[in-house]
Amino acid sequence: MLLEIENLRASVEGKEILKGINLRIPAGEVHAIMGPNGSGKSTLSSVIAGKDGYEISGSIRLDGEEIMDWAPEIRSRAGIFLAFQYPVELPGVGLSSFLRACVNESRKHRGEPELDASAFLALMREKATLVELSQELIRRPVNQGFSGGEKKRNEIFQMAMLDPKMAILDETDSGLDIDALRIVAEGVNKLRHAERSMLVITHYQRLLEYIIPDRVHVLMDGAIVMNGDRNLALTLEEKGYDWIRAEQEVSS
Amino acid sequence: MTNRPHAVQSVDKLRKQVPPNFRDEDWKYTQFPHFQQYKIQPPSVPGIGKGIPPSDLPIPSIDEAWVVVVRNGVIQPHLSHLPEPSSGISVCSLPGTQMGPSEESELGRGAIALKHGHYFSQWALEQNAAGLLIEVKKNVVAQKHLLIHTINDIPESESVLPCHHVIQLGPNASLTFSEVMEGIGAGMSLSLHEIHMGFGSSLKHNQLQLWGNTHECIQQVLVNQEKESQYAHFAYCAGGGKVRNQLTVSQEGPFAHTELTGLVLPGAGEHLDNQTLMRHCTPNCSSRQRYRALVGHNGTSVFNGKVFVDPEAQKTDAYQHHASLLMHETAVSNAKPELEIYADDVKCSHGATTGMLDAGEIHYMRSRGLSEIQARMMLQDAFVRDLLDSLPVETLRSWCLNHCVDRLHALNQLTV
Repeated sequence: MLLEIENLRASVEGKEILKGINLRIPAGEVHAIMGPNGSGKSTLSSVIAGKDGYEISGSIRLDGEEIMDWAPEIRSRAGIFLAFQYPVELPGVGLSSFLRACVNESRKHRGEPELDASAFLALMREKATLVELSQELIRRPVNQGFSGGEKKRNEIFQMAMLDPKMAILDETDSGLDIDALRIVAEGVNKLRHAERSMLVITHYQRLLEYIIPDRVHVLMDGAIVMNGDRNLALTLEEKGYDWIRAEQEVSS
Repeated sequence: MTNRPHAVQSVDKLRKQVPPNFRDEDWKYTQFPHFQQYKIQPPSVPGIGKGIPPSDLPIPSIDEAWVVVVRNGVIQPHLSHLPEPSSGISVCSLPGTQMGPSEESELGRGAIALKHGHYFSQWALEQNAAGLLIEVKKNVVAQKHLLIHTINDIPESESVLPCHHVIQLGPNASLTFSEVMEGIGAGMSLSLHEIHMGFGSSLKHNQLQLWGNTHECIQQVLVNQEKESQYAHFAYCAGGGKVRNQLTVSQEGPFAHTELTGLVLPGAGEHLDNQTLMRHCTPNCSSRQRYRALVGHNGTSVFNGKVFVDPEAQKTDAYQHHASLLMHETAVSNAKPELEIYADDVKCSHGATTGMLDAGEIHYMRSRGLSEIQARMMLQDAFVRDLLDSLPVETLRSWCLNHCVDRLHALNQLTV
């Protein structure tokens, strides 16, 4: 099992947001998490990536290793990648020098030699074509002056550069037009392989037409209330989240 | 005391004055209340500076630059390489002072300082402070860069070493003039610069202030720009116990342009105050000011930038921006941009920001594998690098970059 989450609870200032999440993602699978606004989707992704500011309990294991006490950079170097819902602008920090430092930290962590400038540039050119990111954007500071779509593409580009085991895409589809959605999804699909798992967080079924998930989980009010295959996403699209609420009332 | 009737007249007036105090808006954050009790450190005799330790300072080779080494107010001939007479540039001791061999000049020493100099500049005039007279003749474009390396060793506190440089550029003359300023000991370096820029002349003036952390400094640079002249000043202020820099630039002829850039890095217990007064007196002139302060643990930065637009100075285009980045909760930045505009057809903009590094930016970088310290350093480096890029002399720029990175390491160690 690549990622195992057990009874994960998280609260902010005494308010519980995640109320005991259980989730298991085997290597190579793509799982989707759907849920209404305020259900805790973004909190879940932030907590997996190690963001400060939450009181947390439970367990998160990557390749069998407990990572709850790890700093965000250690999680990243160990292979967790979070594509931000709102990618952050880094004023004046050049994208290529930033990524070179990040890639080399990961390589050091894996005991691999650092990439020299020319090898790094070759890697950047190769990965940039994957998400059709122009060379002009690569020369700019990270996300500065990027459009919403370019920022999201840049997230997938960074994911390609860092080559993670476990990629979490937090509402990568939000704010994208149809063409950008297709480009981003195609980029993600090219990065699917047997040793990489993905967790795709989304409001809408539309993204899942492009990125076909192996499993779909529904998150409501801080807990996973339903699991299924990709058809669950279609049913949700058709019937809405109220349908799940009704189902829950019946079962309780 | 020859050639200075204005200075003599001012003495009586000055005696009645006291140093500015906190009630004076321009001196609200930086005062020298005991200045009147300070002893004057006399200039040392030539040759004493032989024991200058080999330093890692950005002193270029003589192929690249003319270098003048001034130690405690005295030119060190054995360490200096003055411009040849054929270069059209002369560097000599200011007439009437004892810095070194002198030449007579018709230049009106004190001409700007008597009008626009503050209390301390007037005091330096009254003391007949030693200094250099630098002249670039009409139509001369300097083939090399001129660098003055000032070393002031003033061990005792409440001692002051005044200095007065006059720089005169003839019409269409052009010069890149840099100063590397070192101050050792708890005394005070007080310097006054008067810069006269003729029609169409161009001066790139760079100052690297590397004062020790107990050293005091008061400096005023006064510039008069005639028509179509271009003055660019770059300040790298990397330390000092209590430092007050004042730049006063008057555009006296149309189509003059001014660029003022400053990078200020106060560390623990350091107080660095930079003030600018940009006087637009004639139409169609422009100015651009960019200052940044990166303030460490227990450091203080002060910035007061005034843009003054005369009623006649129509079509003025003035820009001013100041940003300070506080590296710790104990870091202080007092920034005040001021516009005083009396003309109605002008474009003047200004802005000031003060804040700490954004936690969201640091988290984003950490989530990509950088440690917190790496993330901080990268953001701080970006903050300063952009400004350092406008330092026009490559040797100084690369030296400042390295110096800055070392300093950031030191400041971050105190902070994290």
